[in-house]
Amino acid sequence: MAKFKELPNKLPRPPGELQELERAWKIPGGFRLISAVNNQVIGILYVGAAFLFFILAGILGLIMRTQLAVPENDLVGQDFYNQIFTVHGTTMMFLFAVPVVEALGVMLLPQMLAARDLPFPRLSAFAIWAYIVGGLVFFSTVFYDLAPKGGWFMYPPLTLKEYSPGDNADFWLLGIGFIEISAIAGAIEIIVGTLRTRPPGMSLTRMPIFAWAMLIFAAMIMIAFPAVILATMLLEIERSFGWPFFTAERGGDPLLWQHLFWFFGHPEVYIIFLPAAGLVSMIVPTMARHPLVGYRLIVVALIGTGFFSFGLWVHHMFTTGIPSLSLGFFSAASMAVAIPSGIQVFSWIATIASSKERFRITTPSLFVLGFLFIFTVGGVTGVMVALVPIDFQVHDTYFVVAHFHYVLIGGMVFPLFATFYYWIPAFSRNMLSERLGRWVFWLMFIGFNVTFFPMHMAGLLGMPRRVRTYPDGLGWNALNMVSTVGSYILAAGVALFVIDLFLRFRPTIDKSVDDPWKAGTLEWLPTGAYSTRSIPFVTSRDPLWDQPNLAREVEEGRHFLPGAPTGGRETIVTSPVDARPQYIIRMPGPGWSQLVAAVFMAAAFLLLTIKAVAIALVCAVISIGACIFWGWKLDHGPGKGEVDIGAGIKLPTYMAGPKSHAWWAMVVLMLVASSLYIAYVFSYLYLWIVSPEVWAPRGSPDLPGAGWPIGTAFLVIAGTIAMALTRPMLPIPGRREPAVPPLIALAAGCLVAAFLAELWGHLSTGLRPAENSYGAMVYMASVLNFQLVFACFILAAFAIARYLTGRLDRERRVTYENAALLYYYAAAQMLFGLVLVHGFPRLAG
Amino acid sequence: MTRLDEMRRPERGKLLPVLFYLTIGLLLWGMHLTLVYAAHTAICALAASPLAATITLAAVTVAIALPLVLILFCQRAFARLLGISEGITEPRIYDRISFFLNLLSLAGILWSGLAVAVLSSCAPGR
Repeated sequence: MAKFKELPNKLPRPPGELQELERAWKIPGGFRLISAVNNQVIGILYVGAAFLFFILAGILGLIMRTQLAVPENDLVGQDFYNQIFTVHGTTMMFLFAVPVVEALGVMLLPQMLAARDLPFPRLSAFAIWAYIVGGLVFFSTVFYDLAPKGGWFMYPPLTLKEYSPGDNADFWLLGIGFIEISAIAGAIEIIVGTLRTRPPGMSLTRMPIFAWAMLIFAAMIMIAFPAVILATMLLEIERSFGWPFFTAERGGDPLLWQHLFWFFGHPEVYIIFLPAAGLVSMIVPTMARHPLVGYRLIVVALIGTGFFSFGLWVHHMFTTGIPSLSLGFFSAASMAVAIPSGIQVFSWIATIASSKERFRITTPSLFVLGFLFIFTVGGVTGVMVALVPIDFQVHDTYFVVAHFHYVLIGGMVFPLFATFYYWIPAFSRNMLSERLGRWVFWLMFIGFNVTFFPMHMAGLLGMPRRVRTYPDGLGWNALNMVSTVGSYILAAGVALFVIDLFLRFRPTIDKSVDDPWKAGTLEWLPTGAYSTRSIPFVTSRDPLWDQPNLAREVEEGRHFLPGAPTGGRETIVTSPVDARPQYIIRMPGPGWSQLVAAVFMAAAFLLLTIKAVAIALVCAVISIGACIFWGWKLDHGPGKGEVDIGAGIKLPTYMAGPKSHAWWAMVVLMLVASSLYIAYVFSYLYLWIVSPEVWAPRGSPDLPGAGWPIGTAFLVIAGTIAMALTRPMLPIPGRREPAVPPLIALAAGCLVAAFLAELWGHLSTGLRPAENSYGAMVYMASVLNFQLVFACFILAAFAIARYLTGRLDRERRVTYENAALLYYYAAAQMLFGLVLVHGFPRLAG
Repeated sequence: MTRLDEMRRPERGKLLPVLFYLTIGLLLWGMHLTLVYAAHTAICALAASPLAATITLAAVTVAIALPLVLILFCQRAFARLLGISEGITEPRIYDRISFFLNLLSLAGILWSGLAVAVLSSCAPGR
């Protein structure tokens, strides 16, 4: 075809081009739909599952409110009440709030970025199936008396084996730990997708605010979630094997759990809020018919909030005896975070006020306005509890329950309902009913405030959290009755929404309602299973407003990549800052491997909970096998050469090295691993600082002699050199280089030997992990190293297999690069660990 | 406005320097909070010296706030130092975002650091 160097391309499109695109992106039908990986399909499934958990957890909330309606009620027993408040909180936070925003990211981001899909569609599908299976099993524990009872933050010592016998707490620890892994998988997808699959011309400065919010959301997950993963590992290991991380009499400290949990738990609030704020920033300009006022300031607010949120965790621990000056630092940071939050609120108000037309009052607008009111009230009480003296008074009372429901429901659930009403037309044949929508809003708004506002007063009157019942005559009766009535009004609003969904929501990929709000962003372009017919060249933040013919041009295939030049699924990878086209990524289509991997990995974790170790291991092996099968088909190689994407631009269809999306994903994974290890280093130093006299305790064996760490370090360095030497020895395509497999095997062998040497060194001194917290921390370093050594071993074996089957050479080398990157990280972590474990006690002692 | 021709040229901006440029203030704020919290905890737990804690924390606050003030005043020079080219799309937007984030961070550092002046070190919280 002749080259046309301008866009829109005015030449006629070749016959069969659209059909080829449709064939490549066809969604499997019937029962095979569960093997689909298209973001629209799995996005709808993901949002649906999260909403189901919202309903289920909401029902538990109603049971709690019914129990508390009158004093000395015995509708539910104490033990069951403990289970339902734990599962209510856990489900809302871990199975609803985070997954639903991640789901919206998976569903909306490719449309907003006009990408055909996110770069790792099977990873998204894996994350979703893992979450659905793990979440359903976790929630079902409430039906057979196996649910955890320690509250959603599961503080030890209450959750240690001696105070919480049985498997209930283990379901929380292993189940939630597993679901966090699923969240991290989604976060990797979102980071790489947002930075690398934007349309040409959409620089960072033109990115929709929701994309900014999701980028920060995913980065926060990457840093925050490993802390709670480590915490759950430590607690589960203590429960199962008696390593005393949290037992004070053996040098542990229950407060370590609180530090780790809240280092995750406080950013979690903003992990939930920031995407919701991003959604509001998309809805407000459309309803105001005016570009967002203060785009730059909103970006400032999002980034600032994301950072500040990591400096607030201690404000959940004001009453634990921390020195007052330290409380001052965290109190100051807790108040400071109100500034970026306030910036966003004022930007939205300014956008509404700047509009020359009247702000359209639709159902999404009502939910946005409701959000502004409720979230602001929650923010004000947030500043109150950031003040140490007030926190001392209201800690663990219903005031705090009221505060965080105002923040979380106001800050997240109301924007979510606005989102449902606003974006459902993009995925359904019908809009939801505006008339019913207004009823839904008012029922929810009134119901919410009637439920939760009285809780402020109940808390100030001294009503503690988590009580199953209360005696008559304390002045709490009327307030609790009002709250209960409110909760049923709120539930009626949600029920009406569900009815509306059943009546009008008819999911579709290509017959959706056509931009009913006349919005300016790309998700309102006409779409099919392939997303947009062609990928637009973007020159502003509101392309559909600034380029009025864009929708038609894109639909006619007159922008980038109008067909499927490689014959399969593909999208354009652009540079991270200015979004200049770099290469074409070839993506996998429907498949079963990610589904098998997710289901069996969930099974492995859940079987470990009930100590069915042998079957759990079999499931783990099947899951790893499915991952290997999945990975085997990903590296297509450069066989398709370059393709013309339009405007005279030709792009390669394969990329290795730092430009490749696989390289980026591995770097993000390494950052996650390093967050986990930093949390471990913090834990190690924390236990030392609170009990330096037991580091190591009197009578403990001496550290292994210097020869052990030096020998271990030698093995690590030798392995690293072997891995690095492999790179220049990779053969040119079609040739062989016999030294490659032995070098990779040598590298893997050195790492395994180093791990064993480190372990054996400590064992040989007689140090045992169950004796004291020092021993437990020393061996915990090896547990964390084991995960990496195991992963490196698998990746090394995978790379050797690829080489032996002619799928690894100097050009087709992504497999090697991934293995090498993780190897270098593992080596660095092990070397640092040697310095910490062998050097620090000598230095401190 | 970006021209189509620019899409045919290689990228001028590298992500890491741009991210560093945007978040330098916040990184310094994070470093400040980590250092003052860790130093305060360690000095009070191990040495039990309120005076040493107060002096250390004040010194850390000043040592971190000063470079941030410098960056605020020499914003473009700092961008050039990081190799951020004027040729990237809309460079002034990055400048503004970085400026406001640095300002916010400086306020955060001084606000937290002020606690040293009004509260006694090492006194128990309750």
